[in-house]
Amino acid sequence: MVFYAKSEGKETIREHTDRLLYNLNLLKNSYSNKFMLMDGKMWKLLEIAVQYHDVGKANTVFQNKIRQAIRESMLETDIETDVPHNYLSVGCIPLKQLDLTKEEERLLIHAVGYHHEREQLPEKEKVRHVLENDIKKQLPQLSEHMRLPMTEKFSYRFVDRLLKRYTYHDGEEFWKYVMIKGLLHRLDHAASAHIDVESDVEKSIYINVNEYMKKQGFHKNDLQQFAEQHHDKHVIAIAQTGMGKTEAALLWIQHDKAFFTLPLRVSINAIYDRIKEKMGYDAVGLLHSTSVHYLVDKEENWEELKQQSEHYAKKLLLTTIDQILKFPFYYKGFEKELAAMANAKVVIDEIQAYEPRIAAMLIKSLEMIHRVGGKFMIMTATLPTLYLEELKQRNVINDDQIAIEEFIDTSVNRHRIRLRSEGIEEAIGEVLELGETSQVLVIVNTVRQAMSLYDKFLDCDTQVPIYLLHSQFTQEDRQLLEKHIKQFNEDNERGIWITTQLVEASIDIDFDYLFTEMSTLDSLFQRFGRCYRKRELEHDNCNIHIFTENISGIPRVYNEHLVNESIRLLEPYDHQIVDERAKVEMVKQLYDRKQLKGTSFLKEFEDALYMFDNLDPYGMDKRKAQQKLRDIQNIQIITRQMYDQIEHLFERYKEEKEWKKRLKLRMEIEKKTVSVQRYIAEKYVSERLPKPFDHIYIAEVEYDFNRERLKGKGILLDKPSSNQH
Amino acid sequence: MKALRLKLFQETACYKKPFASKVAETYPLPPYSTVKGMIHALLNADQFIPMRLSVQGTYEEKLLDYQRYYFFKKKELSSFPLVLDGLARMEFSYDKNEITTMPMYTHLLHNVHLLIHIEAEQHILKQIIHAIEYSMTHYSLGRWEDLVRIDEYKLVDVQELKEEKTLQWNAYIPSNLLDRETKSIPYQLNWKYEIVNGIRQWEKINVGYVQKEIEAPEGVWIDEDGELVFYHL
Repeated sequence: MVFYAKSEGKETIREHTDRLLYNLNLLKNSYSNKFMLMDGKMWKLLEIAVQYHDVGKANTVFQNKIRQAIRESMLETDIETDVPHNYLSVGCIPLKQLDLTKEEERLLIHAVGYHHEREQLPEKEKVRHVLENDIKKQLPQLSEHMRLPMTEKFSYRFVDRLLKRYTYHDGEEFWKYVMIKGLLHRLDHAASAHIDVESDVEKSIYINVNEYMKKQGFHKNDLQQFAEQHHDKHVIAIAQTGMGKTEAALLWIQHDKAFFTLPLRVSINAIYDRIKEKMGYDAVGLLHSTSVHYLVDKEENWEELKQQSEHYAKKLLLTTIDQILKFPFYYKGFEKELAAMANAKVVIDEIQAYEPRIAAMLIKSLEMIHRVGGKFMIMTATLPTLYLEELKQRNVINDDQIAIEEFIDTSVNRHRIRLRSEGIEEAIGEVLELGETSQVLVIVNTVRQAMSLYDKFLDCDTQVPIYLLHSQFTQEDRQLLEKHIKQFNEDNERGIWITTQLVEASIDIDFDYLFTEMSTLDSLFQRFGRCYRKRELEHDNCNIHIFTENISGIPRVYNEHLVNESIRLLEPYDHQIVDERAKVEMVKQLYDRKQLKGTSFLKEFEDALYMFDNLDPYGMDKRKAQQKLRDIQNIQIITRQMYDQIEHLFERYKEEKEWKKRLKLRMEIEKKTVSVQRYIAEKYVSERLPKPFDHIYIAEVEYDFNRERLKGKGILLDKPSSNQH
Repeated sequence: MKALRLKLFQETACYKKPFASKVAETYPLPPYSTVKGMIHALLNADQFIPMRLSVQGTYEEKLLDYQRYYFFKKKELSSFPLVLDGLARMEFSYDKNEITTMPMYTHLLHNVHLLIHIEAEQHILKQIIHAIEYSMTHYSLGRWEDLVRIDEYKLVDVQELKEEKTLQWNAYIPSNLLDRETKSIPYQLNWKYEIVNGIRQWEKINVGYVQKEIEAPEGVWIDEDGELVFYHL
């Protein structure tokens, strides 16, 4: 008798189970000393869970589904009831023979019973019907096929036990459950994808980063030495940009498995290149919402790499937080992500860049990572005091397990600021003049403001090159512009770039002058970092001009109270040098809990934490958690004109059978879309594309960009497309 | 062991929780003291009769009734209104210093079926049967106005349960029999009282209210017709 587990490759249940066992051994041999919660008994439980997780697939309804798919003769049966196999599997486990405690039984039952999370809860009568009338007949053959004892007599108490799910109120048991179930998910998913659950175990970034630094002639600075020394602890390092934070993190990771998170996809791609190409480390993976696009262009074996990344099998994974750290939502299946943290180190870079609600999620994630035995490192230019306090309060930080340090270099003065109580458009003449001899960066708070400023500059009669960069260009045009701004900077051309905070963190540039609208200090200081990035200020003029009147983006983008407070803190430095120490101190004051009292910033942060602490587990699925996370909801739009131009791509997509080619087409199409905030876009959107492009909307507006001259404003939301009348 | 098994029906019932003073909330099944009270009333008992009880049942729906409640402000009243039922037109005045009223919600269970097992000495069970057969008044359980129809009374054999068995009724199960992970609503139910300094001191029974279709825990009983029995003591 053959029992199939999968139609693909006609894999039997035993074959599939053996793949899991292979992965189980791999995991155990590679990292068993890293799993704080996994002792001998726990590994044994996990092994039992693996052995039995798919035996429920022996039911005839399931077997016939597969047989139909692989065109084999159907089995005779009068059973029609379709019960998810994960529930049936539990029924077959010979619990009585296993000599487990009640707690261990529960861990096993829940791990197997929910190794697929379903909308459909187990219904006792249906389960009974299928077990008694179908599985019972198969038990002898199934037992032979699996080379495992099956239960002698069915008991249905497990259904009751499944209905009461684990929650954090179960204390220590909850964390054990997370491990068993999460690891089972990992083993199962890796086995189904036919990849190793952990790859490149022996490859250590530590060696590569050391070699790389030696070759470059870099000496380990204080920050890097500190990180390296405390590789066995949680680390919080507050250090300004340009101090080699990435290297510090890699030195901290040492020989361990690690997840390296950053807020922006572009910067992740940049670090990927650096690690892979400059450091020659190939055990690195890339995971974010558009990482496939990036990998396809770069890597020959991108398919394998994509899978290894998706299943967290890579030794070092570069990723956005929404891919791996959303488990505080307790969505169905969250155990997989959390368990993956248990044998790993997690780096959170640029924590100051996240809005308060997301920061709250991160704090909760760190607390949970700590509970399952993972280690974390927070790197940041400025750490809101509030976050640190919260971690302390949650007992995540106690002294012998964490190292906290500030690294501030005050030896080089790079910025002299001028506060100007006027709107930024007052300075157009001045900027144009400077643009003739230097590189001038203008940063404003909103896309709308950037466009309007761009128009005003163009109205002036000038020869100075003027460029515009913001988020509302199509993906391909934006890529082009981002590339060009770097090139422009490197080639020392003269001219003016008008941008939004888009350039704050993601793009490595160093301009001569910065004209910026006021924002909150943390964001403002990031902007400083794009001007005299590493060099000493060699003149007595102010190289940074901050405009404090008619600021755009308040309160939508920046909290009004925080901006006003920021101005107040900055005032004493008018016409003065602002060094790194001063920046850190100012941000500390700005985000002091007492100072924040009554602000929406603090309220959002606290409300979010309260929510995470009191969330009803398993209430949502993974997708919804992800959406909630990006709840500054952006939607993708495509202009009518563009849609008409590429309509043939959609046709080809429909006809194409080969999925690789489909993916290519899909990327072709996505490149032409613009990501816009939902509330802005809604007014202009006319229809939604049919599946599978139903996340893209057609907008009846014009788009303005000339790819040769790199001129244009991007999507013109105020200008309805002309063919619409 | 023998037990007397009663199958009861009530169209409406309110088994009021003792501390539900703003809304008359009801337990989902009559607590032990209520059942014990009904039996004692049947027997015209003037002292406590030792017995063990098992209470199971179902109801169709929960309803809300909006009623005027009278509250006595004093222990001693000069005039005590005995009966006002059905006397809508009757002028009734009372001393506002002694009595006050408030409209209140009452939770009512609708179409209640109960399965009750009583274990007591043989002659007591016989007396109960006699009382059922020859009672001169109507039967009620909970509030006086919530009549009870006795659909069956039968002496049954009760044995310890050996097999696995699924609950056919919602039931009170003593907490010590329940797993931590069995879904249940915990209650502390009154059983019997002693009067200490003029105040009733109740002996409480910790139970879980479980809903039908779960598997019966180990260590419970079953009667000769396959009905599960969960004695409270």
